[in-house]
Amino acid sequence: MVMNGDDTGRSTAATGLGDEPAAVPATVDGAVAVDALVCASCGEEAPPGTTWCEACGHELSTEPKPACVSCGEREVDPDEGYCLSCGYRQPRERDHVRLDEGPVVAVSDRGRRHHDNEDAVAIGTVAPVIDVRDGHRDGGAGPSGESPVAVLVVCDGVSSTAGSAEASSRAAQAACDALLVGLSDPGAVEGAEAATVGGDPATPAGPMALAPLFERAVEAAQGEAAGAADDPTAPDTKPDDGGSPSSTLVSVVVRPLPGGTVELSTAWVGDSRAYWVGPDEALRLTGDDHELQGGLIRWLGADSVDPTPDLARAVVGGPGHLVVCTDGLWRYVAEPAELAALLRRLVEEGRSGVGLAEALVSHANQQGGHDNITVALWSSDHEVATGDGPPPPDTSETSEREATP
Amino acid sequence: MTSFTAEVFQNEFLPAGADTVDAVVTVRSAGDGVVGGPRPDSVEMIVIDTSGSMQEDGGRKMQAAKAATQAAIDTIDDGVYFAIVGGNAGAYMIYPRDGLAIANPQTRDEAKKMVARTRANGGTAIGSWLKAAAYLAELRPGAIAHCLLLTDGKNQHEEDWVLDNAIAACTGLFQCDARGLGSDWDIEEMRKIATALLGTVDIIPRPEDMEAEFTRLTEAAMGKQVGSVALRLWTPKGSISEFVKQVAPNLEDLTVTAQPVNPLTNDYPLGSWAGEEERDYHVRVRIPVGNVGDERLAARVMLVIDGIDQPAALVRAIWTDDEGLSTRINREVAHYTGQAELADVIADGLAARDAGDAATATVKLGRAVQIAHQAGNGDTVRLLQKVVDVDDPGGGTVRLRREVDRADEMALDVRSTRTVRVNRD
Repeated sequence: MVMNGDDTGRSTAATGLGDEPAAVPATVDGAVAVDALVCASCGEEAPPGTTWCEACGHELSTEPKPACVSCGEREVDPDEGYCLSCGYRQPRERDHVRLDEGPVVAVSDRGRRHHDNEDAVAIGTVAPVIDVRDGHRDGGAGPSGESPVAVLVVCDGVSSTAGSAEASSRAAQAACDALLVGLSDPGAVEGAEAATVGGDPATPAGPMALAPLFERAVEAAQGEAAGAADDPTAPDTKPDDGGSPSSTLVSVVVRPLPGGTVELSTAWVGDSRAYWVGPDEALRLTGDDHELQGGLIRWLGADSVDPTPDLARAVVGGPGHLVVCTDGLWRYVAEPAELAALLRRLVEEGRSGVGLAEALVSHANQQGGHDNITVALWSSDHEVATGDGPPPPDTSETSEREATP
Repeated sequence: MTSFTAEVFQNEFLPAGADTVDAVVTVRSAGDGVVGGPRPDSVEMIVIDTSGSMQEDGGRKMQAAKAATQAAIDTIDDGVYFAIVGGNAGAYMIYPRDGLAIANPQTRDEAKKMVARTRANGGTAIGSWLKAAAYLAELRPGAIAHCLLLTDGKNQHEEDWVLDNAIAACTGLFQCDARGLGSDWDIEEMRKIATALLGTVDIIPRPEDMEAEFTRLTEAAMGKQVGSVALRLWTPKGSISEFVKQVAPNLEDLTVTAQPVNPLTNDYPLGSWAGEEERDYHVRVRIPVGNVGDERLAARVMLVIDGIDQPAALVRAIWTDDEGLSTRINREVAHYTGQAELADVIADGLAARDAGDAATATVKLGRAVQIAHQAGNGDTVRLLQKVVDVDDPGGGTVRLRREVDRADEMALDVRSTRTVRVNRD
């Protein structure tokens, strides 16, 4: 998993010395002397060459402070994240997260109305566990024959209980890790082994070969979400109203099959959704665990009454897009046909990959951004330039939906 | 060493468009039992009224004042600088002859003997007494200086401005607990002194109550460990600090005591602190409005201990359209808002009563009974019951009493700013 903007490359030391850097001597410990320094803490002027304020002991900085996104003053305290002039809280890392893992990408955004982003997303890929002796790649599988198996997990922290941001991020990561480990080790999951090694990958054995793996992954996620209640360091701002930190979870494993079809195995708890938008079809893969009035009836967390996931499996014909999202997106495009129309428009505008996920999030923000917005996206044709018009009709036409609650 | 902490209690969630942020800041001092260098010098000054009125009533007041002062001298710790000052139309040294004595068994004995020889006569010029205390305090700069001031009468023998000038000259030099004996003194005069000099004001209704009060106040002064504490308040550009009040153990509006540090920061002096002490402050700030989902730092609260600032506590504002969050009542803020209203309705009720407006007085004092009853201000309820007959404390139904002891009315007035701590169970 890669976080965009995660700067791991070489960086040259910024000096920020102003006009004549060459004339400024560096002191032994690498600190830099300038003519006049004013302590950022107490306002006392410090003599040139000092690195500590003699009045209050505060470390003197020669670096210019970052500019505030609200008022523009270069007064942001990088440690606390507040502007020291207007007090504005600067954006945090989790306010907008971009992930790019080749065929699978994700964007998570705070939205326009919420203070915190309590959504979480984790994605990953793993080489397909296939028996190469099968030689099934000779069947004209095309580019998808080499495609890795993708895992997409999206969680929506329940905003009415304190600690849910922590619960959702821990749950998403735990489920994703468990799925990736299980999928890369066929011996770890009997069902998966039977499906991928012993059986014919094109006609997976049983309706839900990955059920044991999903159950294990969701169990791990439930354990992490419940553990968030005990974490006193969990960052949160809400008063605790007695509810435990809690989160929804939707996870999809994408397995490209020979012949250009794709197996989508889905597990969910709560009302985050997965959709498949193919050339001729748009499907919703999940149900909502809602009561009639709209309240959640199932969730992950210490006070969960039933954390067992619902499971569903579909085999669909490519090319197309798998969209896994929280209600921050689907509240604006709830019907599969609406989502398909939006996707078609964005693809025609030239969007693809993480840019397409960003465009979906932007759409939700333009509609009001009433909630956190998270989209994880798997595109079958991620390396193919989009906008070339509709692909040729797929012959498999296989689509099925099973194990719906 | 004595360490300090500041803790913020607030509901940081504001509805869209709101600009007012309330927070209660609890400041605690705690000694860790480690002797961190020498204790700072302490100065204890006892200034007693020796005007002619103290001799009335067969000299009972003067006898009691002498006994109380002698008892207070006994509680002064060895090594503390001290002086006893007599006051009438001017001020004079009772002990030592000049300057400050260092307390030890011998000096305490000498002081008590000199107190016993004191005679009462002459007028009352409190400003000149304070100036004498200022002169003495200035002999030990940097010391934790405390003054116990007793009068039984009004400041009759000097102009008001002389007293005001004297108070200004004393500000920052020492803290002063002002006490009025009987009911012939002026609450506003003594309150003015105590407020400016970061002390307390109270009535000592009867001469026989004096010894216990003097002993208690001197013992408390001996417990002070840190001389100079200030609350440093940063608020964002474009904001208004509407008020900064001490709300426990008693109400004291500190807003006007603000000393600018820089355009966004002010210091509010909190005086000297004992090794184990807790006080609550209510801060109200109006800040530029943000969008729903935005967060703004509304205030940063620091403590400045002997000139060195300590880590901050943060007062925040988060705008939300979730009414479940924005309508939450913060218990601390609500409690002290109620305590401030209690003090206000008592003051208004007594003023209306003095002005002969029985209807307003009944409503205001009835409301006072109601708040005091609900908030658990048992002492205040008892004081109110000496001024009104209570029919229904929960409903605030009262009748004004015809005959009210002047001292009881004064006690209610002067103690109206005492608060009870918020219940944090």
